[in-house]
Amino acid sequence: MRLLDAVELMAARLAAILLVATGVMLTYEVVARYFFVKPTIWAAELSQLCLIWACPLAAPWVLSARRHIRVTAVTQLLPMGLRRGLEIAAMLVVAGFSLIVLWFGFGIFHDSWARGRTTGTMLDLPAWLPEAAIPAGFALLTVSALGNAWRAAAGPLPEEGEIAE
Amino acid sequence: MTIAIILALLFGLLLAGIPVAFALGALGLGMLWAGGFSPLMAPQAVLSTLDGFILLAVPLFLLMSNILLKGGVGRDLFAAVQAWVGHWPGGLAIATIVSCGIFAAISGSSVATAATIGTVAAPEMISRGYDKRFVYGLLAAGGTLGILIPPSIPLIIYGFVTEESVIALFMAGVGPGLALIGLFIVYSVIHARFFGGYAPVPRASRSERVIATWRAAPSMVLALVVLAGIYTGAFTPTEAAAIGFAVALIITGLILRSLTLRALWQAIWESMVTTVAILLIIAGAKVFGKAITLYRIPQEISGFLADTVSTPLGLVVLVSGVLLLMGLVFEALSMILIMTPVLLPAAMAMGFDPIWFGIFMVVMVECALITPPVGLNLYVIQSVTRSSLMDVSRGTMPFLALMLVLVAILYAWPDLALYIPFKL
Amino acid sequence: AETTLRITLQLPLKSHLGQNLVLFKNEVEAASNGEIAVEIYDSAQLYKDNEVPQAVGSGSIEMGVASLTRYVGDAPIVDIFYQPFLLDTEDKVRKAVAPGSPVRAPIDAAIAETGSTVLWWQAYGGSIMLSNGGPIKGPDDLKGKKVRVFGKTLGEFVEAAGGAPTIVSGSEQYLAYQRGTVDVGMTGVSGVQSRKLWEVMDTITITNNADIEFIVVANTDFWNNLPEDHRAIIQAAALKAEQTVRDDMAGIEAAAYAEAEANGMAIYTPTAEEMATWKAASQPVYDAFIAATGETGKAMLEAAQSF
Ligand code: NA
Ligand code: NA
Repeated sequence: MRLLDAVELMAARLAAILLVATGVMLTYEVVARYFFVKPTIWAAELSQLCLIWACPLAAPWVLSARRHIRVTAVTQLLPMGLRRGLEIAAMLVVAGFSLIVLWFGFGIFHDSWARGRTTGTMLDLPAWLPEAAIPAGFALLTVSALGNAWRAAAGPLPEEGEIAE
Repeated sequence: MTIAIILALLFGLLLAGIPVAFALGALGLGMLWAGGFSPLMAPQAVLSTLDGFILLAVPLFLLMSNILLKGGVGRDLFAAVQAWVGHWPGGLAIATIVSCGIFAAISGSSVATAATIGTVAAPEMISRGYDKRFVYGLLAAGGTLGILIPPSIPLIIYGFVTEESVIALFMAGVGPGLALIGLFIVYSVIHARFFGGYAPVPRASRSERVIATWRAAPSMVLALVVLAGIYTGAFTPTEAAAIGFAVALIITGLILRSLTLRALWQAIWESMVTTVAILLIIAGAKVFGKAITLYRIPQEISGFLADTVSTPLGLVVLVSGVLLLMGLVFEALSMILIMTPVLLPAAMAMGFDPIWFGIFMVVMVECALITPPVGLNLYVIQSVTRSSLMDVSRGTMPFLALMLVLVAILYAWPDLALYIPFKL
Repeated sequence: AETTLRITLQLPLKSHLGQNLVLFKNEVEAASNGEIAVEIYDSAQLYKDNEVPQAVGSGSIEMGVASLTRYVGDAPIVDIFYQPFLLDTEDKVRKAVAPGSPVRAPIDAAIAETGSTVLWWQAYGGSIMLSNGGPIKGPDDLKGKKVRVFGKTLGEFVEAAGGAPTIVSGSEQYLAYQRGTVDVGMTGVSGVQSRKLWEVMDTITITNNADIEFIVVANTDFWNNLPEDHRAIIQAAALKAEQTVRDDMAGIEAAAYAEAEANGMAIYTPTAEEMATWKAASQPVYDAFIAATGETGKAMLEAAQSF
């Protein structure tokens, strides 16, 4: 469990840094275009790549920190036993979904890898580079969801994290 | 029948507390499997969501507003506006609304707007003797301006799912946003005249005004630059967000010197968490969206609406009613993501402009944010003011009515939204 | 129905590509006595254009329409159609896209490698340039200008001509021109019509600097498992659809030009000397194409130049 926590946190930190990197690259792009009429060919695409990796990487930490958006209007009225049961069921749904996305997402990645397909965009990166983010992130997410189901079965439920937007 | 079963399953999964992203994704995947469609659509949907350039604007606008927030800009803005209008009848209320409007031009989220202005304005107004419920309602409702006045994360997402221009959507939000500020101000002045009871604020001295304005000026300039940059085409929304992030760093880090490294990292972390939560919901909704498309559900609902209502007015009334009810229990993003693909085809067939419809959806989502039992802005104001959900909800009712008045104005006069993007 | 063909399309049903699919659907459903059903998912309800090659190749959906250039990541030779001013007349295009031609045959074969079978090609027309305050007569008019492009090869061309290529999506085009995010536009002329671009740009230069083609592909495993008679019906309908849209294309473009003109746009056709300057400036793009595609690409380029 502790190892899982550490891995989740590391992945989330990496994701935060990737998002900051997008801000830096796109700012540079605007400056390059407006002051030097020299748009970069890499800023937009590399920023996109950062976003594609950041979300699957951080999703497991966000799940464990209970910061994914959920509707709690009904569950918070229920007795503890039932709530715990629902929590375990919810985490198993997350794990099941993640496992399927992992499985088929790996197929997409592997196909591009084997064919040597490229994105065909200005930068023409290998197509597997973004595609690998899905199996990587959802593998960790599957494990995290199972870990959270285990936690819910073993002890009291932690408080809900703050809700975004 | 199929539609009823799917709706029941969706509501069941959501109300059982499964995170929204995964409830949508899992139900969509289950439907694909049951219908004999390829489950490959699930990872493809996740990948194609994250691959949307316009969605890069989401983390960047969040970074910009969180950095300003941690740099104490909310307090400065409120102080500046208060120094100018605080002594008017109902002046503190007007200052609160105007501050919400200005902060809305910096932030893409209504929760951030409500939290920021609520934290500084609520104690001030209550200590001056304003009716508590009025204060709660004003702040919860004022916060919703955050998603109508650009930048707006819900408008970015609407643009992403409908492939409409986000720039046009942003510009279309300006008119209705100002109109809503106007409605709120008129109501506040009337409330002050007839229900009074508050202690007037002394007029600020000249030097107080200058100092307060000077401190708030950089953030107001930033808001203007971002908006003007998008409007004139100098940069795309995504680039505007990146510039906003960079300039926010300069303002709080170098000019005001109010941002510590620790606070910066917190701002980055919060932005990351919110981004992931939002983008995963969009991805889940995309899986669900593909499934209902293959089941031909949007087409059926569209046909049903066409048979049931024969006039544009009938459609708007019906849809507003449905969204109002749905908004009792749903939060903003799920509403937009679930309902847009279902409603937009019917609306366009009746001659509504897709940009106009996006603004209409966002106003309805604003209503959802202040109606109990699930309304994020209610929760924010409740926790900021340590009051009961009941009191806050009662306080928002007059403002809810004003938002519906705005919908009526928008219907009667679509150019309130469409003039700035297309005719100016 | 025994067989259901689901087709994903980026453009709306009312576009000429959408209408071409409707023609295919009617042909197939009539000829098969309802044994084959065709469902069209238009307006990118299921997949965006750039996702179609993967979606069809993997069997996630039976059929799809993709712009040819979306296959450039699998097969760089498809960008022969984006080689500047190479296929700049209808006659040359017809020779290039004829089934089995030295330009088309290698492309159909390369796409077969991705798990998709090409059923037919849909003509979309030539690429034109849009500007304000005068036509774009040659590379000098692009120097230092920001130019909207929609792909790598077009970007290389703009760079070779001295401009700054900028990717702008179809939906942001109108505002990008109106607000001057880019100075020069590039699109097919039917895009001018559907997006009312005459409201924001006043001049069309008929450069035909690229030929825009869409292809309708089917998943190969699905295709091979269809009964023989169904395949025959589909192939016949595909051939009819291909010929119809190709024959209609000149008329569709002429109507679009007429409507643009009626809405106040000036339409400029470059002179022979101007075309020579354009072509001379494009040499680095041809060289890069040969470098990326080797002998196959070189043979295709030479064949196309001989048309
Ligand atoms: Na805003
Ligand atoms: Na609500």
